[in-house]
Amino acid sequence: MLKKKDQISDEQLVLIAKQDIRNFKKIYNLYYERIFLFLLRRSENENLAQDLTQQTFIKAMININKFEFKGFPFSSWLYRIGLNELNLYYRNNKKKRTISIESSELPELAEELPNESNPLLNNENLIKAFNLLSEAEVTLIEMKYFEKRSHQEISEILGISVANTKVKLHRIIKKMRNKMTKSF
Amino acid sequence: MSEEEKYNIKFNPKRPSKQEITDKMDFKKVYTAYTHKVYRSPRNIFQRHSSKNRKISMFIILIVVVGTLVLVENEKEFKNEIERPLELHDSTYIKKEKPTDK
Repeated sequence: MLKKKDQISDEQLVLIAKQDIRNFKKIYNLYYERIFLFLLRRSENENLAQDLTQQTFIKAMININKFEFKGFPFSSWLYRIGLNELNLYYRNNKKKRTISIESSELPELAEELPNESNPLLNNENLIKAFNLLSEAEVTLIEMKYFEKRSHQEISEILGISVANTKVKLHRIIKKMRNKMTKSF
Repeated sequence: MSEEEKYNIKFNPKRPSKQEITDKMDFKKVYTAYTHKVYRSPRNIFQRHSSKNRKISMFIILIVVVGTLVLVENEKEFKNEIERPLELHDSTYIKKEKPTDK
């Protein structure tokens, strides 16, 4: 019910932004913090995250007239633009992608991987397992286990089905588990 | 690139406070950058220098109109040429007379 209400207000905000782009400020104020933190987690450079957030909103402003509500929240569109901008940056600059991990975020991932009581899940093994994954796979793990997003939200941001999200996550976890078991 | 070098993994990085983020992210900057980007499109550059470009555009339109008229006129002339009887094209042409019945 609350989601429905949020979506209506999002629709109204988009509508008034389409009429006059200066009204985009309301959307910006609502989302800039989330987008900034989303990009900061993946870049670990405040200036870079700031630039990419700015770029994300400029792209959104330019293309706002093309945006149509198709059952997805407006935020997922912004996250997708942000993710594309980030990937573009790493591709163009040939820099290493950053993965930020908070200790508090690890327990859920630990449940899926070899048990925490078992010494397999240490930072060293985790780094090895992450280095085995592609950027798209890392993004999925980040969204599910570090940012605690639902399968629905992940599917909306990445533009894939919920079933596909679940299957992909299952395969990635299996891959990481195999790597960590072998490396021990 | 070895496996270990693929990603830059950081544990427990420092996060900026809400106030720090607010200070960094000002809509004015984004709006200025947006207008700068949008007004750099060829259409807008043309519009910005409209007074200078008006003469050029009028000249281009004039050339196009005159060119079209000339082409249409040529086409007409060419068609007329084809439709004209052969004796008018060729002065040596002698029209065969029909044999008279006697």
